[in-house]
Amino acid sequence: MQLDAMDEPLSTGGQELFQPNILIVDDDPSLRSLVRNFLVDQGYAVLEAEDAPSMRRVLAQSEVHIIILDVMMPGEDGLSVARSLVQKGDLGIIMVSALGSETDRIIGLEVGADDYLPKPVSPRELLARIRALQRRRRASAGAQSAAVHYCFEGWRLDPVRRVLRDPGGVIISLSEGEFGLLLALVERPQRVLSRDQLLELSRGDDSDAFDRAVDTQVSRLRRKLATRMHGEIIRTVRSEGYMFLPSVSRG
Amino acid sequence: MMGRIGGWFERFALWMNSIQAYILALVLGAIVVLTALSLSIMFYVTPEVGAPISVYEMSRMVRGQPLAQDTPSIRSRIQAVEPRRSDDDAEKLIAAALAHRLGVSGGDVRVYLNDGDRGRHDLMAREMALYGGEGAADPIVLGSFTIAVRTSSGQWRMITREARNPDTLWQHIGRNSVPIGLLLILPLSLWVSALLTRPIRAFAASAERLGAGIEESPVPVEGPTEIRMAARSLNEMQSRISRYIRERTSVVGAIAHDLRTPLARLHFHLASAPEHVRKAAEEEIRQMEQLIGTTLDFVDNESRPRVMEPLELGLLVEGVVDDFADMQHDVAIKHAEPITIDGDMILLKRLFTNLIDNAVKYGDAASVSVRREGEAAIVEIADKGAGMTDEHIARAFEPFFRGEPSRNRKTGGAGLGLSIVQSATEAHGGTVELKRLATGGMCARIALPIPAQSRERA
Repeated sequence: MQLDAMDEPLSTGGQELFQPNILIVDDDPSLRSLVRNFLVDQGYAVLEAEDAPSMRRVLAQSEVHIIILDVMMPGEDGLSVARSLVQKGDLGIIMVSALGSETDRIIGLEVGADDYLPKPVSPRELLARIRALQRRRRASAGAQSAAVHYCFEGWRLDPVRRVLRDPGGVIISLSEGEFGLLLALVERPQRVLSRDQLLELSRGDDSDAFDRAVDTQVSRLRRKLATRMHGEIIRTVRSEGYMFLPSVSRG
Repeated sequence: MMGRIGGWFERFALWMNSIQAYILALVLGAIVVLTALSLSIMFYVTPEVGAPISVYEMSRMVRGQPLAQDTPSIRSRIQAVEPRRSDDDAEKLIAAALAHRLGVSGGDVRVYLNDGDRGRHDLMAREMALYGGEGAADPIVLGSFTIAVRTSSGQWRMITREARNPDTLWQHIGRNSVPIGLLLILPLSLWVSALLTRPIRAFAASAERLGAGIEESPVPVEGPTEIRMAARSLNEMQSRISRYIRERTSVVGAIAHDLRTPLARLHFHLASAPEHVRKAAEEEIRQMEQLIGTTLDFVDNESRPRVMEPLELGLLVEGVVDDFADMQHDVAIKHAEPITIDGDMILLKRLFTNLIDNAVKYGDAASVSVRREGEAAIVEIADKGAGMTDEHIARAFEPFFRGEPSRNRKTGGAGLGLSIVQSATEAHGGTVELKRLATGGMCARIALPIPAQSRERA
């Protein structure tokens, strides 16, 4: 098991030993048991369900914190299940789908899933996403649900569709790394974020795509925003990191 | 019997709405309008008032006696200045005849004629020569004239006859019947042709949108019979095609599910395998997943509804380039202008990702430029590879065609990349071409239309 690299020191301090209960909902029994064995090895308490009705039975009987939900299931599909679960709230939903296209990802996130993974999902990635979700849920415990959009100086940033629009409504397309960085900054405006924090917050998963130094991406981001916006947007705080200056509203 | 009449009536109603009937109506309408115009000119335009006036009648005019035919347009005035002498033969001839009739000296009468009557001198001279001996000569003047007679007080009485009334509306129309006829016919034919071409143009536009896959809604069935027939068959074809696409999408979705679930199982089986086995097997899984992904993209490209929104093309291409650069590929942007186009972001990203991916795989490096050329945005992606043969270039856009039969591991793919590029470009109304560079290597050139309002903005 080569997962040592994943046992990383993510947030410093306050790392309690709490392990959430995970429910796997998938109609494929052998994949279900493989995922269960893997997660049990990682120290999680794992429950299983083969379809929507049995999932609801499990939820009625046991405490569940995170659901790993297959989209393509016979009977009620994963999207409609997710929609009904979001209304109850307080459940982390990771959707797993064989339809891995961008459109499907957007639909999944828009019905209220916290994360969306295309099949075939690797154990490393699943674990990384579960941990990322735990972190986020800890950080925003009791906070409002995810914003639909972030607005600053007439610009709109849609975190689900990963789209940034200028005040004229024109889509300003960024690279994956730059978008992650901007999202991390916009979610925490007027706060100094260190390079390490930015790297951790903007890194969506364990992909190699974001290895380039944060500084390079910040300077690219500044240049791209400056084509349509005047004035200072991202301030460099010497020997500390970066700060997003405009005020941000959710809408 | 009723049925037959009904059927006949229906066919007639259909024919009445056909292009043939419209054109026939236009031609008949034009003929009717022009004929009505000429007829009304004939009926309403009063002929010129000047009846011919003989020298005898002139003498009565001078004496102030009435004429048999009323000539309203006679003006008379007195002037002290002696009018100029005439040296025209016809005028002198009439003046002499009139002086004779009035019984005054020839020097006291002057006559001024119009061009037409002056040209009739020969006829007048012949009349004088033939009938003059019998005292019966009485030459006539057809058009306008002026008579000047010296009065006993030594002043000159000037009598002018206008042969023509001031122009009436109908006389104007009569003289300008060609431009006025055109003026009447032009709106008529413009109206009819608009009536005819509007549905044809609407039909063509909807057909084009269907072709570009932008619109799912059917072509409206309206306008002339012929267009209605074409629209109906186009709609039938469209619904057949979308049914086919839906079936294909669900089949491909099922296949993807059935392939990806075992791949996911494989991943978890491998979790407990030795390191070197896991690494190698995960690479195999990654390649299979890439093939499935490209195939799904290919299907998704054609079946997903397009979302056309204004976007900044230069930055979009730059973002894709940066993604490749972040993965340590030799990809650089050589030149990028800000150009706003209407496009589907997902489709365009897929398009440029595929092209740059090809350049990196087969050509080791990619150099990208975005610029404006008139009404088009041009994106060029050049590589440094060995290039392609003409035969390969010609077949490059065929689905599942692969330039490299070896299917070697490093460059392996489904052979769908360029098909995706082509369908994505066409969905934006653009074109794509591949050309060999003089320096070796290939260059892919994408031309996308820039919408009018963002051309003005620029």
